[in-house]
This record gives sequence, C-alpha cells and structure tokens, in this order.
Amino acid sequence: MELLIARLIDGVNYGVIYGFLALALVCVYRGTHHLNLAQGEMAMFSGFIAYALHAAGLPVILAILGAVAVSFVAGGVVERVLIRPLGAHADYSILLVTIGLFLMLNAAAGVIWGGDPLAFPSLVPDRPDDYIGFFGTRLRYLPLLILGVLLAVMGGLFALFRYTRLGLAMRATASNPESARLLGIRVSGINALGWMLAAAVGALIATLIAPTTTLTTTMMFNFLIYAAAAATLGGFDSPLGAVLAGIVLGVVENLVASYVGFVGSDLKQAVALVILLVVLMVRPTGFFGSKRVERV
Amino acid sequence: MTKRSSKLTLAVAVAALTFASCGAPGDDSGSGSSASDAAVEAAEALGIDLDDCPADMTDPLGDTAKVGLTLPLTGGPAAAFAVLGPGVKSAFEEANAEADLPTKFELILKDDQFQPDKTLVAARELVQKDGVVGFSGVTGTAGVLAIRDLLREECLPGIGLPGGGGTVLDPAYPEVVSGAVPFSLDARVWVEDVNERFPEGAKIATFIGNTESGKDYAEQIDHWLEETGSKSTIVDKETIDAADAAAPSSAVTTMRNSGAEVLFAAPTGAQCISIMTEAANQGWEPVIYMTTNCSSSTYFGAAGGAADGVLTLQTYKDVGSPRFADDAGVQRVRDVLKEYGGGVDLTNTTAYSGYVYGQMFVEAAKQAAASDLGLSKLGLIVAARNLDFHPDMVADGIDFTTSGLSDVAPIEAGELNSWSVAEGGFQQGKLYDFEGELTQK
Repeated sequence: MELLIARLIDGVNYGVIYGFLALALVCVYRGTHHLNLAQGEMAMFSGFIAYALHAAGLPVILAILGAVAVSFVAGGVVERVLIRPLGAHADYSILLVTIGLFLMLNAAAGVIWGGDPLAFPSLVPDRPDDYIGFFGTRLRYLPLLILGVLLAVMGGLFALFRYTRLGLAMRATASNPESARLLGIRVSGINALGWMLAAAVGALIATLIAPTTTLTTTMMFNFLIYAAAAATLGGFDSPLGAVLAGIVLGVVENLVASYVGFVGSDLKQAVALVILLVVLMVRPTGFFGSKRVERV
Repeated sequence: MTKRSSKLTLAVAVAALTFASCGAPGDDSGSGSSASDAAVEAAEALGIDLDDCPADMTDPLGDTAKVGLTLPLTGGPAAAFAVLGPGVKSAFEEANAEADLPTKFELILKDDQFQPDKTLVAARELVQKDGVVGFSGVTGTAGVLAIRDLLREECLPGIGLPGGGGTVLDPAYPEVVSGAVPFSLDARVWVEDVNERFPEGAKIATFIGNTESGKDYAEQIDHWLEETGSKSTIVDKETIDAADAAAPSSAVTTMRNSGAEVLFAAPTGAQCISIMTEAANQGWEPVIYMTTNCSSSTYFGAAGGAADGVLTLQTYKDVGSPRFADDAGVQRVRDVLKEYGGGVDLTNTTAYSGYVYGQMFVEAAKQAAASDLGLSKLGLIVAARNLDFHPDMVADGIDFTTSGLSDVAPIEAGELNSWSVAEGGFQQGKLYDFEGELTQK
C-alpha cells in the first residue's frame, strides 16, 4: 500500500508538470488554433532569465516574477513580429516559424549560459529532510508548491474568462473569430494576449521545476511531448481538460510502467503515446474539447 | 601493458622496420603498392593491407597537414561540446609553435550536430574536400562508430576519439584510438569495489541511460559480476531516456523498494545531478557509484549534500577540484588554452579534455617522426598503437599506453574517488589499474 501511494504521488507530481505546460499550449491554441512547438523552449529560456536575474542579486521570488513579466512581454512580441504577419490561415508557415523559434532559443540559451547544468534555488525548503510524512511516504514541499501555483493559475484564468470583459472577448474570439471581429473585438490583440499568457505560464513552470531538473537547454524536451499529449487528450481548447489530462497521464503512465513487467522504465513514454492514440481514435477532440461545427 | 613492455614492443617494431628497410635499398617511394617491406610488415601486424589503402599511406605528410574534427557547433549539444574545438586546436597550435615536428598541423572543424549520420557526412567531406590526414576529438561512441568504417577504407588515423563503448576498442579497427575512459573500466572498478565492501554479496540496482552507451554499461556490469565471481546480484534495472529532464522519482521509488544496497548509475548530463538528489530526497542511502561521465565538480557540486560520499571513477584531473588547484600539469594546460584557445572558458573541463585528445595525436606524431616509418599516415597509426605517455591532465600514476592489437585501450586505470561536501571536491581514493586487461579477446 505504501508503495502504491508513493507511485501515485510520483505520478501526480509528473502529471502536474505535464498539465502546467499543456495549459500554456492551450492558451495559444484557443485563440489561434496553432500548436506552438517552441513553447517548451520559451519556458526554458525564461528559466535562464530567472537565473540571470537571481545571479544579478534579486531574491528568488523576484527573479521568478521578473522572468514571468519579461516572458509575458516577449510572448506578445513574438506574436506581433513573427506570427501575425503570416496571417491567420498560414498554418504550415506558423508551424515552421515555431520550429525556427525552438531552434533559435535553444541555441541562444546554449551560447549565453553554456552547456553545463545550472542550479536554481527553490522557493520552499528543498533539502532531503524537508518533507511531510504521508502514509509512510514523503510529500515534498516543492511539488506541493507547483500544484498550488497550478491551481492558482487555473483559478485566475477561470476568473479572467468568466468574470471580465477581456475574458468574454477571449472566449468569443476562440469560439468564432470572424463574428468576434464584427462585434468590434480586436482579434489580433486577443491572440497576442494568448501568446503572452502562454509565455508567462511557461516561465512559471520552468522556474518552479528548475530546482529539481536544473537549468539546461534540454530541460523541456520531454515535457513538451507529454504536454502536447495532455492537451490532445483533454482538448486543445479546454484549459481544465488539459490540466486534468496531464495529471491522469502522469499517474497512468507511472502505474503502468511500475506494475506491467514488460513496460518498465524502457517503454514508459510509449504508454503515454498509446493512451493518446486510443483516445484520438475514440474521441478525436479529446475528453473536454469542443467539436468544431462549420456552416456549409 | 606496462610502460616497459610497451617500449620493448615499440623498439622491436622499429628494429624490424629498420632491418627490413635495409633489405630494400632504394625503395623509398612510400606508396601503397611500393611500400617497404618494413611498412608492409608493420601494417600487417595491425591487420592493415596496404594494397587496400591510398598510395600516399607511407609518404611523409609534408610541411603542412590538416586534421579533422567533427563536433556539434549548432543545435542543443553544441552548448556542451563545441568548446572541445578550442581545446583540441590548442594542442596542435602548441605543437606547431614548440615541438620540433617536420609537419605543421591545421585543425579543421565541421559541424555534425552530435548526430552520427551527420558525423559521417561531415567526416567524408573533411576527407574528400579538405584532404585531412587524420581525425582527433570526434566525441561519443555513436559518432566514433559512424566514422570508423570511413577511417578503415581511407586508412586514416583517428587518435584521441573519446568514445567509451566497448565497440570503440575493437582491434578490428586499428586506426581508432580512444581517448575516453572505457565503460568496461568503470564497470569493472564498480564491481571490484562492491566485492571488497560486500564480500558476502550485495543487492545492486542499476540506473542507466536508455542509449547505446547505456546498453554497453549494462553488458559490462553483467560481464564483470560473472567474471569476478561476485556474490552480488542485480535486483532492479531502471533506465532513463537521454532527453528526460524530470526528477527520476519513479525509478528511485522502485529501486528503493527493491532493497538494493548499491546503486550503479550511468545517466547523462543533468540526470547525474537529479539521481543523486532524488535518492537523498527519498531517504534512500545506498552506496552510489556514478559513471565517470558525471565525474566533474560541476555535477557533484550542483547536487549539494546529496552528493556527499558518492563514488566515481576519475582518470582526468578535475579542474574545479581544490585538489588540483595548484597542480603543475593543470596550470600548464591552462596557460596553453589561454594562449591558443581563442578566449575559451578556462573553467570548462571539456576544453581541457579536448586538449588531451589533441595531445594524443601530437604525441603519436612525435613518436612517428622519430621512428623509421616517419611522420606518415601509417607512421601515425603504428605510433598511436604503441603509445606510452602521461598527459598533463591525467592523474599521477595513470599513463596512456597501447601495444599493437594486444592492448588497444589507452586508459585502463583510474582512481575511485568520493565527493566530500566539507572539502568542496573529490577525495582521493583507491587507484585501480587493469593495464592491458580491457582489450576484447
């Protein structure tokens, strides 16, 4: 039982990270219906910005908030300079631009901060003896903090979408950009906001997990795969769905890898992909995604 | 191979070459088809048929010669490995300025993005377009495997190629001389040390990268457990994807639950840090042996208290460790890098490793120039197969020695050191020396 609980906790911890990054993917996709393949690298770069701010003397919390703020602005700049000029229907061009952005940010981080992993401090106590005992296992403060921040971000986004005019405009744009434009909503501005929110969310997750992963140019590679899988499972236009799917993905993957002998750690990633395949065959829009209906 | 026997082998080879060359007066063309009997004999001793090699195989290299190095200059791995270039280059520049060699070397770099298929393309271009006379510093077992057939076809020396896999130490490829600590040495030292600590046997867990190198590690661990008659058993095998940055909490949960008292860990990059911290975070305290690829103060320092007491095999001097702060060899190489490295980061251990790979090539060139074969491609290969020297960046008591095809591994000794948080560096441990014992039979 103790082992099962430990594995469930491990799975939730992984899943929260997948869900967090999936949320960033959804922020971009909801408005533009584009998958930002550079989302992980944008998050990674933000993590390095936080490192630089901390190295410059800022306390960790201010370094993180500073990186989030810089990323928020940079997300808007990326949308305005690289994405918007291509037009709303340049799907393949935008996909290629995000790949280019991926490569550029990865190389730039390597040139600026080098190839060695860099340690980044935790916001909460994170020494080996900093934990809460829980049914014979250890609940560590950092994963709890990440879960708490994820819930807070979800709550903030829910409030934004539900109770503000800006959120209403974002929902209208996500639902039908043409009609939203006719209603006087600045659709391009709303799309830019989606990129800004995504960049900020990415910055948060990268800086929060950095104490365990350390900062490296490859720190987000695998997470992006899982995040894309989570967003697909939950529905690319559903923030809640993406987060829940991320957590479910983390738990199921970990349990299958732990208890199904031939899977083990070797085929752990394949578990996520099999789940993804099955769900796409049964429910192509994901569990919480909305079906697109087009008038013909 | 001991220093003495290595020198004896080289002397016998040179004497045979001298004798044979006396028997073939006037035959100094040095081409593959008209090579001296001595050259043919020396080549055959290494399994090289000169008839299958380019005609200039035994010709002197001339006043200038190009040496090739493929390495990641773009893409993710570039951040870690691009700095090898200035290190290797410094060794050649230093030789050009200070060594009395008949040939000045120029190092030509080509980007391979650390992808074996691109390594081969880049290497082929270096051979065909630039006319390189050999390679030095090409990194990684997969990269070395990608080019070894090219080296074989073109009869070109690849000296100081840091690939630790067993396949890099294959006598069937005499042109390839590794510059890395072989995984077989790592695995053997781990097993021998476990046998000493746990005479009645221990439960071992392995945490190994899901890569070709990782498979090599796994095979070597199994091999040495059996070979040494160890009573220890592997109770859990965990693997990790090379790109996986997540804390390995699931793997550690499983290994801890297996009751393992010993952990053999061979992950890559930042995973070196996260496996140590995760084990400590879960309160699991096995005897941890960390791959030599992780044996730098960069990784151990970043792991904080979790690294205290963790063991790792070291052959090269760690420039970040207080133990070598005033070391004359490190200081000398630092000065060389400062002069020829083009502003390379002098705290980066990879640059220093690059210097050693280049130094191996230069050392072979010196030996070849002093031999009757002269400084030719064949002379380089023969000299590299009979190396015996002590690089400045290698710990005292460890020499780089090879002897024909009977000892193809230059590095067969290392110190099993432990990290000390109090000292802020590695504490010197036992020196394990398996000289001449790691060549595949």
